[in-house]
Amino acid sequence: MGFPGFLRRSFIEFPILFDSSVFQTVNFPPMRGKKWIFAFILTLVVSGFLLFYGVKAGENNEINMNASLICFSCIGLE
Amino acid sequence: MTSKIRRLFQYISTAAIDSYVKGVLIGQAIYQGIFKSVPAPALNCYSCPLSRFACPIGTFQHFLTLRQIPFFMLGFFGFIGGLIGRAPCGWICPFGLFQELLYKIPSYKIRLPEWVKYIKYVVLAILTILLPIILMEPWFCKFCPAGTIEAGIPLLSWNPVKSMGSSLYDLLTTHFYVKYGLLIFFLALFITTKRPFCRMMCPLGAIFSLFNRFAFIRMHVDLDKCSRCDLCYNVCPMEIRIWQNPDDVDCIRCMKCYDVCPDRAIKVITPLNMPVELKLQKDLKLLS
Repeated sequence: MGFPGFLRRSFIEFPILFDSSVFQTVNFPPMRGKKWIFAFILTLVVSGFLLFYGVKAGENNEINMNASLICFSCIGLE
Repeated sequence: MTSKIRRLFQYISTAAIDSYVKGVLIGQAIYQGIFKSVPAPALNCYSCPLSRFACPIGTFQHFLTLRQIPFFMLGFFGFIGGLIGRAPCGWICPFGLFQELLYKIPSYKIRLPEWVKYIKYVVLAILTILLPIILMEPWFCKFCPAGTIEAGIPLLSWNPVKSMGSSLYDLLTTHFYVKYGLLIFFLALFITTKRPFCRMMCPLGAIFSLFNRFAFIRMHVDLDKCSRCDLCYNVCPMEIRIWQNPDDVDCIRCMKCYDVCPDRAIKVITPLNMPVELKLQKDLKLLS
């Protein structure tokens, strides 16, 4: 079931412009072979380093302190 | 079968993330223990009275409001994304489960156009990164419907500071009405559209989606077997055609397509069971 008339024009037909040209380039070809293995190992190594550095810098304590207080923005108050 | 396992996994992870029932029983507004040092791998408001973990997006914004580089959070996003891509959205996220359950309500159903998936990158860039740095406030949280449902409604109904002679209602401003109006809009969308928040708004999904293309776990479609029947498209909670792009930024690895595929063309791949066509460094079409 699709959009009714005016919504179809504004939400679907106009953005075809985007779908057909600019954003199609976002669909990269699949990463293959050694490139894939290298990319994911590099990601894990860099992430591991960042996690280690964050823990060493005491970021977890900051996270705990922040998350232990009620977030007024979250509940809609100022 | 995999879909049933996934649903069970969603219930278990939701129960694990939001398991601080004791706090409600003893009158403690929110959990303040050791687990709050670690974010949950899913969008889950840390101000929820039941939540045991920190919210990854709330925490990420908190460091940005302090104008500090969130090393731990960047590592956290990279580690989870690098291993399983956007799978936490499909298997762990309580808010994703909530949307899937609401979509089961019989009603007029709408398919969103494909381009809406790019809105979440704008939300990530502006509300989650730029505005918190510039204005030093967690701007995404100000609009987040997950926070409204998980923390806003329970805390405002409970009003835990009442016993101290104060009231949360003293702090009501226009922001409250905007946030709850937005919630009503999203609730209507949840009933009529498949996972609209995950596809359009979720900054955590936007971050994890960047890893879908090279995560350890990926999807693969054997195009020789695939008959393009679009059964996978019809059941997909993110409305993607996996045979067009198995690495689609919106694929949450829910495996519904795997379950329904009559050609058995869809499978999960890792570098350990890489199909022959991906082992080649160049596309076969380019070689011929």
